[in-house]
Amino acid sequence: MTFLLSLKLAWRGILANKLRSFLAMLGVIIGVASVIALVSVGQGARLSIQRHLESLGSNVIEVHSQGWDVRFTPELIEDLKTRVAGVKYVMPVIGLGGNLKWRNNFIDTPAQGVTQDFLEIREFKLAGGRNLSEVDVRERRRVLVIGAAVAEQLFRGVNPVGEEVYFNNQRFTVVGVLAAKMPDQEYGIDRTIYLPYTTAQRLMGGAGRIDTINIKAAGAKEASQAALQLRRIFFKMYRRPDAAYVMSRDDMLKQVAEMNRTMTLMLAAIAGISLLVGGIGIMNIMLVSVTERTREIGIRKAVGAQNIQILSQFLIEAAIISGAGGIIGILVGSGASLLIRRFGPPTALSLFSILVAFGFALLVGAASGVWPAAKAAALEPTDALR
Amino acid sequence: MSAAFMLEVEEVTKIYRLGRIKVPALRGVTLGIRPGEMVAVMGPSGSGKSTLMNILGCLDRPSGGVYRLDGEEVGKKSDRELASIRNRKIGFIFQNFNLLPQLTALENVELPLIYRGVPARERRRRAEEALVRLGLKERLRHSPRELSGGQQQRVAIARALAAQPEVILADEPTGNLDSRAGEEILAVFQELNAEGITVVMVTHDPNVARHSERIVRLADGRIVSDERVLPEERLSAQELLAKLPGAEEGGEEK
Repeated sequence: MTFLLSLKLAWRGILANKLRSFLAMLGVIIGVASVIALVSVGQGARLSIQRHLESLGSNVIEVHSQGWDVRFTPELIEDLKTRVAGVKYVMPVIGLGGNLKWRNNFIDTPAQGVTQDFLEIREFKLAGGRNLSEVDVRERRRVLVIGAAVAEQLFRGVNPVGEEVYFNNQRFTVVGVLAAKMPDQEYGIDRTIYLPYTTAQRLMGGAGRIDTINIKAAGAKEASQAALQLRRIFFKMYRRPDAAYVMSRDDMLKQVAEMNRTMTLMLAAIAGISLLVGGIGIMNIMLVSVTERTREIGIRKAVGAQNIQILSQFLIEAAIISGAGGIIGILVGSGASLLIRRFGPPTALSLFSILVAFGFALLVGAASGVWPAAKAAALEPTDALR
Repeated sequence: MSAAFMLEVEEVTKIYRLGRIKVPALRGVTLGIRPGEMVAVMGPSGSGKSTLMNILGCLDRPSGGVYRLDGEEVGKKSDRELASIRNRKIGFIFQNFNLLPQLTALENVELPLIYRGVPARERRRRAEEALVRLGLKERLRHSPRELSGGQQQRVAIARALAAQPEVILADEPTGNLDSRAGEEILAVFQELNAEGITVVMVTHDPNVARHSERIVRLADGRIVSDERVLPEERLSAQELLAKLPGAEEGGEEK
C-alpha cells in the first residue's frame, strides 16, 4: 500500500474522532511546548549572565572579602601590584547605591567607588568629558563618571558633562559620560555611576570599607595563574580558604557553561518524562481505537490486507497524532517563550531544543503505537468480523 | 480428479475452544465444487455453514482435514499467502455488507486493489467500472450511511468484482434485505455465474437456495444431503423481478 494512501486513511481516522485525537495530542503538545519554553528561559538566563560576565572585561579577576576581619587596604593593593605576576591593573572597588538627582529629575542607581583604571579594566569608552583622574582619587573629589543609560534617563538630551547633581544629597559634578556597552539590557552596567573610591569611603563614613578588588591580567593564561596565586596569598594571610573569594571571569564563564549543561540535562529529563506521559496517552487512545475498530480491521483483512499493512496504518496514525501534536507544541512553546520575554525574564528560542523535542515526540508517538498496531495486525479475520 | 475442483475440502473439521470446552463446528466435511458452479449451502443455525464458508474463504483455517483451492493446499500457507489469496481469488459478500463507513462507495471498492498495490488511476477506473456495472453510477461519492441496504450490498459486490475473483463466497447475502433488493442481488449473482465465476452462498431460505444449481445441506457439522436443482425448478431472478410489482430494476428503498 502506498504511503500516501496510508496517510490519507490515517488522517480520516483522526478526523473521525476529533476530540479524542486532540486529547491524545494534548500530552505531546504540553510536553513539546514546555520543553521549548523552559529551554528558551534557560538559554535567555545563560545568555544574559554570559553577557554580563563579558562586560566585566576580559582577563579580569574579582576578589571579594568574606568576613569582617578581612580588610583590603590601599597598602595591600599596592603590594599586590608587585607580588602577583602578569598583572596590569589592581583596583579597589566599593559598591554602593543611592539616589541621583539633577534639577527635578531623580533616579535610583547603583554606584561603584573605583580608580581611574576602571575604564581600562572594564573596557569602557568615553562618550564625552573625561575619565576619573589620579588627582580625583587622591584628593577625594566629588566627581562622577556616569553610564550611558543614566545620562539618557536623568538628563534627557542635555549634555551632562559639567552639570551639578546630588548623589545621596551630596553635591557632585559630572565629569564624564560612558559610551553604551549593552544597550538592550535594562539593568545592565550602563545604569551604573562611578566615583573615586576615596570619595565613596568618605561618604559612607566608617562603613566605607574596600570589599572588592578588581585585577586585570595581561592575558588569559596570566589571569588563571594570577587567580591561583591570589588564593595562595589570601590563604596565607588569613589561614582559611574562604577569607577571600577569588573569581576569574573565565572561570565564571566556564561555570556558566557547566551550569548550562546541567540545566540542559535536567530539562531533557523533564522533556523525556512529559513526552513519555504523552506517549502513554497516545498508546491508550490507540488501544481503544483498535478495540473499537476491530470490525474495520476484519473487513480490511477479508479483502486481502496483509498484517504488515494493518500494522503500518495504525503506526502511521500514531505518528500523525504525535507529529501534529509536536507541531502544535512548537507553536505554543514558541508563543509562550515570546510572551515570557515580553513580560518577564529574557528568553532565547533554541532551534536545537525545538528539533530534539519534535523528534522525540515523533519517536515516542511511533513507539507507543507499536503495541496497539501489533495487536491490530495479529487479530484473526474471523474473530474481527464476529 | 481433484484438479477438476475449484474448491475442495476433504474430511475437514473445525473445533472452537470456549474456555475449556471444545465445541466442534465441523465434524468431517467432504465437498468438491467445480469451476463455474453455483452452489447454495443450507442448514439451520449452528450447523456449521458459516464456519465452512470462512474456511473456504481463507478467513479461517481448518482444525483437521485438507482444503485445496485451485488444487493448492491452503492449510500449509502462511498468513501472508492467505491474505494474498483472499485479495486475488476470493470475493467475500457478507450479510451485513461490511463496508467501511468512513470511506465513500468508490473508496470501499478500491480497497482490495489498494492492498494489491494497483496504481491509483487504474484502481479508480476499475472501481468505477464495477460500480457502474452494478447500477451505482450516481452513488460513487456517497458514504455507506447514505445508501440503502440493497445499494450497500451492491457496493460490496462491486468491491468483490473489482478484484476480479475466481470465486464469490456469500454468507446470507440477502439476509438483511427486503425481497426486491434481495432478488436484485441474486440476479447479479446469476449473471456473474453465467460469466463463469464460481458462486457459493450460504442461506437458510429455500427460495434463495433455489436460485443456484446445487444445494448442499449441513446439520450438526456434517453434510446431510447434496442435490442438484432440476433445471425446471431453478428460479431465475430476472424473471422473478419482472413479475414483482413496483419500482423498475435498480429501484431504491430510500
